[in-house]
Amino acid sequence: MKKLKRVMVIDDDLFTNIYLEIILKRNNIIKNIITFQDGKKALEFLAANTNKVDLILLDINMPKMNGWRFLKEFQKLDKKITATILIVMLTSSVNIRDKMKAEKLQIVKKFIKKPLNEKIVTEIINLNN
Amino acid sequence: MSKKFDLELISKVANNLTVGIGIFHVSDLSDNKSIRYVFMNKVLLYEMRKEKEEVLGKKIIEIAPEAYEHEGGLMVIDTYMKIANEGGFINLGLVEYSNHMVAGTYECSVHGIMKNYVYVQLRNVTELEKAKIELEKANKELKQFTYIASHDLQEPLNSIISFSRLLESSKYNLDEIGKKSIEIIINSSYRMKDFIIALLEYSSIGKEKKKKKIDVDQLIENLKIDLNNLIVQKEVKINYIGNPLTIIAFETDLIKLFQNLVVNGIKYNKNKKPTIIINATEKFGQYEFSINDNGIGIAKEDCDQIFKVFQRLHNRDQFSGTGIGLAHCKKIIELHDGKIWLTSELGKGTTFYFTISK
Repeated sequence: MKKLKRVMVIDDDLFTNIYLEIILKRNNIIKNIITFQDGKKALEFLAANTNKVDLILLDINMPKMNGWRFLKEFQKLDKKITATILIVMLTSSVNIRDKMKAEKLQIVKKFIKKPLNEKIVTEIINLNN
Repeated sequence: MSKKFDLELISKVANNLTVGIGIFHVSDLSDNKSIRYVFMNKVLLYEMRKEKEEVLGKKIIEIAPEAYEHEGGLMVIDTYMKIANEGGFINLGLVEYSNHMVAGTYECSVHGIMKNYVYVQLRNVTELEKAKIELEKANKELKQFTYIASHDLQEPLNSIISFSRLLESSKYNLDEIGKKSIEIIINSSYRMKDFIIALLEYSSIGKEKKKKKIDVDQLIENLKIDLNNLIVQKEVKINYIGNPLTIIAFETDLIKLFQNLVVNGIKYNKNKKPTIIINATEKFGQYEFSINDNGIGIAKEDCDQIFKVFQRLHNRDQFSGTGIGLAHCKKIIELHDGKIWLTSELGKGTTFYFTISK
């Protein structure tokens, strides 16, 4: 099993970020979790490429830059940085069109509806096996 | 002025009509200032804020010169000239008209009587138009509001559920009251979530722009896949007994319609083997569907109630639900110019029927 070193969470909802940190750290799954409430800052972090990211958990509805826009910009980044990153969409949206849109995008590995629980989080982490 | 029609008779007939009627004589077909008032009924005189004696026999240019000064007025005058010459009629639709007394929107049509004579039919729809615009705006805002409210309510609710589950997990030592509290918080949150999702879906009816070809067999097969957990858990049988059929409809709305009715048939069902039978027949101008179940049935006096939004027939501890499902179905059917109704017998089952226009 390939060990995940660093997970990036992009969600404007602070409590979702806190929840993920608690679950991931508590079970000693991943030590390095970086959270962003804003897609732009996350992109800057990735572009700087000082710390390698293995998995991105991405919300859809966010102010300023939403998840879809983030994905567009993400694809413009250097392939050397992005090629090994898994992206999972994590959303409160119950709109079936969001789900269909995500399924059409190759870079989105999975589309997950909130609320989160430990089982779902573990499933996500095991995706890259 | 030559009178080849019986003005007295026309006056008697037209005077008390609720639309404005006015007859004009165009004495010179090449001069648009030669139009004279021959007859004006009460409604039209009221719209002009004039007395009969003031206008009859006079030219428009003398009585209402402002008609020659704005687009709406000129369009009507040009139409008088054209019809006075060529006959026939022209429906001008909505015309904006104003003078120093009145301003408003009128439904207007001009009809030929004989060479040089026309009549105009006028209806003041100013208030109606205003109300329509306001209503459209209010409706749009309401939809937007429901959508945003239900979406933004989801986020905190999801957090409540996630963190309650964290507390619930055995690593924290809670006493009995603590455990019970968490359980109730989680259950209540899920109930609220059901409500929000149902409201969200209800508010998004009609968002689809284009109808699609839908294979009914395929739709039911997909529905079985979506409902797989429920079907396995309750040992449900769902059979389609109609002929292969392709219809044109709004896809996501139609899926929701079938889903709601089938799930209701399974949910309100105490039979050991719930069975849902779906049929479809092609009729003149429409398709008729039926969804039959062997469930608990609906009392006759309740049949009118069930399509109202938030209307429920059962206590929450008997059957959970939001009371939105069937109201949603009705709205979807209305969107497809159809009807929905049912027959039912308590303890034996219910059949919902609905039609979809071709």
